[in-house]
Amino acid sequence: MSLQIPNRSKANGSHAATKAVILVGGPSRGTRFRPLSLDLPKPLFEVAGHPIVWHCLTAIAKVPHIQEVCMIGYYDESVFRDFIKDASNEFPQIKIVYLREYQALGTAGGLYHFRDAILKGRPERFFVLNADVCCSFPLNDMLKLFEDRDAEAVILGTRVSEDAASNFGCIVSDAHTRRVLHYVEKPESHISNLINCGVYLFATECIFPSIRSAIKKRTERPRLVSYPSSENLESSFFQDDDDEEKKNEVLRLEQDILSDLADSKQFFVYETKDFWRQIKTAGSAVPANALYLQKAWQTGSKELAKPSSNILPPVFIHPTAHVDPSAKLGPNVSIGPRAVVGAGVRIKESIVLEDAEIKHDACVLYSIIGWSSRVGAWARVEGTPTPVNSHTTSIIKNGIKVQSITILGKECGVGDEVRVQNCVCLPFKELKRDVANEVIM
Amino acid sequence: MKEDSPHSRRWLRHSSTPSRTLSPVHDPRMRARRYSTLTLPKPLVEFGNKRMILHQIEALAEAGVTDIVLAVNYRPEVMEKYLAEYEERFNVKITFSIETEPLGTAGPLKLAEEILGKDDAPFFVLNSDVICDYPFADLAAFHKAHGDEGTIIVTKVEEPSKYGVVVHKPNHASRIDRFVEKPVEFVGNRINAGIYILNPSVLKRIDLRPTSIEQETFPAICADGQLHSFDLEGFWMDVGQPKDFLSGTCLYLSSLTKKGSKLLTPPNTPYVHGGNVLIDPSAKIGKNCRIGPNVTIGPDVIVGDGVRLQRCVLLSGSKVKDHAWVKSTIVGWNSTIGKWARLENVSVLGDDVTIGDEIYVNGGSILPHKSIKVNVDVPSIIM
Repeated sequence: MSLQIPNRSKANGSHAATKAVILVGGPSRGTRFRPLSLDLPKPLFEVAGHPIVWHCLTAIAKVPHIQEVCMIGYYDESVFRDFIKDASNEFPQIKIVYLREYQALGTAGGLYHFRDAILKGRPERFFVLNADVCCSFPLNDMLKLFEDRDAEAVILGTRVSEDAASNFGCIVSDAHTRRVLHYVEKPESHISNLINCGVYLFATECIFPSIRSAIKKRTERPRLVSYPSSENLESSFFQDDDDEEKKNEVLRLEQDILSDLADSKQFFVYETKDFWRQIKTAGSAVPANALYLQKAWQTGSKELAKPSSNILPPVFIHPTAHVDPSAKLGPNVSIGPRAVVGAGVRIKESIVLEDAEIKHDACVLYSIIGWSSRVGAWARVEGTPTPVNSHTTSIIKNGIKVQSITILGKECGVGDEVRVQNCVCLPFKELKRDVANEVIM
Repeated sequence: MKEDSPHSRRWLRHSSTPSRTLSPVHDPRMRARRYSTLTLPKPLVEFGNKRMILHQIEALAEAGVTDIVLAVNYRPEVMEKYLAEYEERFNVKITFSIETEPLGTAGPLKLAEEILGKDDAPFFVLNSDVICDYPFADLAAFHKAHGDEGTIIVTKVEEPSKYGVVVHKPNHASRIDRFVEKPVEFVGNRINAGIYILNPSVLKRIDLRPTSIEQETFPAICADGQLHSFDLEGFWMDVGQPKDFLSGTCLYLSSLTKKGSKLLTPPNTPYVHGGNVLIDPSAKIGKNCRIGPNVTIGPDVIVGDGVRLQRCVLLSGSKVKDHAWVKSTIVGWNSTIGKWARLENVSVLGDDVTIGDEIYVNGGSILPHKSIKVNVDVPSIIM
């Protein structure tokens, strides 16, 4: 491997080549996003009128002089072809390439595998964004900290409640210098409530040698597996990872790299006070939709529907959707292409996907209405609001854990006057009777 | 017959001769309910847009009753103004007979002996919560024809095991042999409907103490072969519980439909769905509503646009805002239901309750003057 060490011009950073990598995962990931990921790869699911990964891309496009974005994942190449075509038209200054892993290599493994592609054009540093993160991506602020501190790595951090912190990677930092002193993924005990947002800026000269030495270490001694907390037991340990863990090539930034960076490198944390959420479960698309809509509203986006007595902003209505003027929408509602919303309908805190139809006088709250699904007249499809600061999308009802957001998969039907509450409904189901707190298979 | 028999439970009873009637109100649970969910004394609650007691007074007056005694355990002042009006309208005399201590279901008759026993004419007794097509004239004729001491109206039920069942003497169509409380095996399907006609001689069988007409007086009359049954035609319901109030309303509205009553909104009205819809002329109905079946809408009610109503009762002055969905619910006086709210599963709103926009209420009993801002997901009482 040849590592180029470009000249660093720290004065304004404008000459230093910067790239970005978006980690998009693959089809065996995103299982928690079912039933919505059954029909569409999660990164392409639309929130606030755009694919999740588009929101990453717009943030990247705001960083000066970024010329290339690499999307790394193990979906088939065809999956992102149309998206990349559209995005290349929208962001002509950026070259977007998709780099396909043929097996899951882990976040660090993927970077290392495609190091030649990343290093092409001799970037001095590059951003890494997890596609399943919803945040304001303050990349320029991270870049400024990177340059100010002559850093080798910068991680985006955010504060969460103490009891939520142990579900994430926890960062201990020096309050003054912002240097990362310690990093631990999903600790058993409380370490810090400053957590890893899944957004990084790495100096190329630092990160690849670090990954390489981690690989070397891996072969010399067995890796310590961090113990998942009970909350995340399933997701973080058994569900996706077991097989992958056995393969030696799987290396993850969070578990395998960041802790060592904290020990030995100029590793800093930029703490964002802005919004941040993970998009893991399908239900988390609803808060993500809300946050991106609010951001669009605050920045005066022209895409949003004009507020009126029946439009409580922010609301996104696709130009091809048909919404009856007597329907009341918002706040935090996205209506997808060709969707039809009838007279006297109420929609709040919800996503209505392409070609869905909501008949007259129906009420949709805290829900996702899947592609081509139909909601009958006077029907009520309802989830439960979760606290603003909550990082979980499940709630306990009658002692049972249920999804707070109601989700109808593709081509579901809800009969006239039928009520659906806190349910996840797999594609092609017809709901003719009231149902609550169930997964409908 | 204890708690579960349909008439010993709640007691607004009238007894009457061709010249008198009696009607007590002394079940503590009933008082609790009156004071909690629905603020009016139950006889004044509108059933099919007509106060319960008016259904009864009207039928009694039509059968020639001139004296009506309301057996009560307190004096509800609110009732007096209505009763004065009814006295005039139907040319009847209404007297309160007030218990100072609970006297059971028979004791109040003894207490009113002076009025009920002033001549030899028989008197009617009825439970206040029972609603039916009161057949008082036929009952009196039947009673006179058999010449014995008492006649009780019986009604056919599907599940006799839940009630006290009447068993007749062998080879006799009407003379009652005995009562079997909650029979395990089938002995019959006629139950005491809570409406009687009795000769004044019955009063001699009752002591002035807490005593039960079903458990003490009737068995004694039966033993002497002096008690008969009279089959009720048409519907019958004890509407003391909200669930039964709604079911009773359905039966009542169906009977109006059957009779071709002009009170009902014509079924070909665009918003009427499935018929059995009774709307007071002063109520306002918005655009694009679907109303019915089995809906009663009281005076001065306002129903907004795109509202869906079925199997419900909207009491006077209540308001249902646009796009709300209401089923199996009693909406109390002057209550408001918000836009896109959904109420169902025997919800009962007291006086002046407000249900917020988009709120869901599943079997909620909401006490008066409450404002509901979060969903009531499971049946519960909201204090």
